[in-house]
Amino acid sequence: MISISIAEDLPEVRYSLEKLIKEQPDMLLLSSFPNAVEAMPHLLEQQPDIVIMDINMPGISGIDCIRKIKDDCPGTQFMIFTIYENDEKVFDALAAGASGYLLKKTPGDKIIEAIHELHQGGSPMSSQIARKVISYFKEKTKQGHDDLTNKENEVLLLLSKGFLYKEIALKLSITLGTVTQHIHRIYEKLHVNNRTEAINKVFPKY
Amino acid sequence: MKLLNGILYNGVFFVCIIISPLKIYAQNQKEIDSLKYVIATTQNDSLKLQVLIILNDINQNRKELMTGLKEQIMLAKKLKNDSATCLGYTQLGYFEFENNNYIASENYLNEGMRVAKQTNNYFYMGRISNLLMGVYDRKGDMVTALFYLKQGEELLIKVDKKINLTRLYCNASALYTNHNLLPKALFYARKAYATAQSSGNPEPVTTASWFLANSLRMVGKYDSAIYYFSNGLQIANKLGLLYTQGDMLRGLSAVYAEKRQYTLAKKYLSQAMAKYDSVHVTDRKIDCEESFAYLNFMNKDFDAVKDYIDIREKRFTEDSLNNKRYIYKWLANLALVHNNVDDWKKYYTKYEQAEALFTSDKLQKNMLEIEAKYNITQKESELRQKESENVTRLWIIAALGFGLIGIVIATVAQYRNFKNKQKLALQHTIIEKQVALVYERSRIATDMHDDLGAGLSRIRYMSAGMKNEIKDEGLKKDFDKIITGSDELVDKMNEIIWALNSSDEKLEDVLYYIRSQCSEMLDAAGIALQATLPEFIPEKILNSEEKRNLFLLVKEAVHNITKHAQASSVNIVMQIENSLHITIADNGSGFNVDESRLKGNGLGNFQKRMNSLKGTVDIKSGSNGTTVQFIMPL
Repeated sequence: MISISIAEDLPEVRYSLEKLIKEQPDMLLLSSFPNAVEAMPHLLEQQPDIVIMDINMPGISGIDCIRKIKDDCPGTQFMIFTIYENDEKVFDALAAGASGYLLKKTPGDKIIEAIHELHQGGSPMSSQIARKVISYFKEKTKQGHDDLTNKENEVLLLLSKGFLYKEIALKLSITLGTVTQHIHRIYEKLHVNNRTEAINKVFPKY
Repeated sequence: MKLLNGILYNGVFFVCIIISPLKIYAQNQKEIDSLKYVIATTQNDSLKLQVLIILNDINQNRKELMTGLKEQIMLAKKLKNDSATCLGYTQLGYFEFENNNYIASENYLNEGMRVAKQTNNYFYMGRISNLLMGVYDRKGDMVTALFYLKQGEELLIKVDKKINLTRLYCNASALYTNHNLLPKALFYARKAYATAQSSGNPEPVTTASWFLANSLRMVGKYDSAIYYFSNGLQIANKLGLLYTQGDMLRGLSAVYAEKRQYTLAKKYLSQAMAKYDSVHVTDRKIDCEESFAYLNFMNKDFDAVKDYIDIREKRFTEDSLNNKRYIYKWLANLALVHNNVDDWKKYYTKYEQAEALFTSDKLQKNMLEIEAKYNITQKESELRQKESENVTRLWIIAALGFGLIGIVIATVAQYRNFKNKQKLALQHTIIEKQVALVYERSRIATDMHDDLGAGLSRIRYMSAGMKNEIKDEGLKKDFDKIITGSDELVDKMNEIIWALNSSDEKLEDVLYYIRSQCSEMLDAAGIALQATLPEFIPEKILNSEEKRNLFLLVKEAVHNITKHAQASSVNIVMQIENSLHITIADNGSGFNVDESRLKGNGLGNFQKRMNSLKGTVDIKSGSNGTTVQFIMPL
């Protein structure tokens, strides 16, 4: 049973998500909120497996919400629910601790598929985001932080050049599942590094 | 007016503004020496860099700091440590800023900004914005300064760095104070104080307290100013920040001086001097001495002022202009008090000469105006003096004359001040409008995407909900059309966002993006894709128009295949030989090109887009499939 919570301010979108999840025999809808402010204390208490989180909500944005509670919800995976894939905020959300994102135009069956995939440790990543992740880690690697493995780097590079997951699997002779798990690991490292920077106030000068 | 308080309390403090008042001058020579030893002996570059960073952070020796920072940047670049590179440039920029070397400062900071941008390091981008604001303000470019204020604010809020945000707000407050826009200065000081308090760290609270208190003092809210200065002093005492204690005490002194309680003002000022003395900050101490002269003068202790002039004359053996300025200023002031008009004229002229080199022509003109007014009143008083032989009466008249002069000068200065304020306020409104316009544009763009996107999502989900409720197959199809229609609109918006984001992009990245979008489209349609990209892609930047047109051309061609061609596989080849060739071939049913052209199908769009790229399009179609070739000159 996958326990799920939703934070989304558009009522139509929220209702239809709720309905979709309630229909699934292997999913349990724990809670559903119209904004992040209400959601935060409940999410901390309930610790759902997966939170589907909108970015633009009144009050606190989905990104800030994740940043604030991610470390206190170790077992929870955050899935960003976004309209645009090219939105800069998607990367910000991933750096804040989200491990996947889902486009709002995704049809119902694909949404369910994506939730299952995330639950089993897979994550989606577009070529645009791959490029940002690469430049982010370029800076980090020399600082003795969590480093990317060679395989992870290869996967990122191919992704940034516009290859699909299955093409990458074929090229690197690994399974599709392994590719998605690599991406998932990359997101985790991205989040850890982002957090390290937030705590290490090394040069608090200017 | 000009002579008495122009240079004193209002102006002086800005000097210390961007210099973090929290710089602790706890010089531990032993520690520095041991760090230097490590740097000189170690073979490990990474360790050397770490130690250099620490040393550069605490080293107060300017010459050593300069070479140390340059070494740090070289080493960081060698080790590809972008963060340390950014830090080095930031510190160098700050260093040159302190030396009033704004062009060098700007160059270093821009270099740091470039590295920070490349690595998406918002934290450094924010910090560098803060410094650039100061640099552009000093260079007289308010538009850019305010731009960096806004940018720095956004970035530092984004990365949630309260301490740096506090400093930014403090500097903004200083900037507005310097331009005599006091309500704005107070506004930013309050923001700084609130941010500092929410940071949970007492250090930024002291900084913000000082700025808030000073802004309150400037608008005449003396009691609140005293409260915040005392509050800041208490925290600084607890933290043992001697330098900051000095600043707070000096602030208190300034407030009491304005309240005309000179004894108290002098008490606090001497305490401040003692603090500065204990941390060996001579420039600040000299400022204090100047303030002391002012207080003594206002307190009618003219002998003390004379002593001060003597000290100044003795201390500075070199003929520095700044020194001359102060000496002549006080000599002129004393002459005025003793009603010695000849001396006053003599010193005033000398003072004016020294001052002229410091101030702009406009200010100088104002001076001449005041002088002209003074000459008239002076003649009047001279006439009256001749009429009377009675010494007492003479003194009374002289006193009256002096009072009159004072009133006239005060009125003129007041009027000038008022006019200047009006002018400045007007300039600021214009500048702020320009900055606001730039921000408004980007805000509208973002809002539009967000609002339109949210609206389209609602329509989509409402339609999907209704589609499930009804049984009529025809209506179901109509709802499907609404759903796909809104999805397509969202896709278009997504493309616009892509074109707007980082509007100039490398050809390489554009080609990769096109490849990823094509594979997704074809994958969704169940069509196999064989894509070949050039081995080597030259460094070329496309602007947003070019990249959008190129992308839409290829996308449209692929879209046509998925809709009409009934193909099972597609081959996309991109080649670069002076120009860019993109060939898209499918194995579908083909179509009659001439007929389609006559019908005015999407093919016309190809030509239009290609024309704007100054390229050519070639379409061949037969029963074996269709080949579309775009050639775009690079």
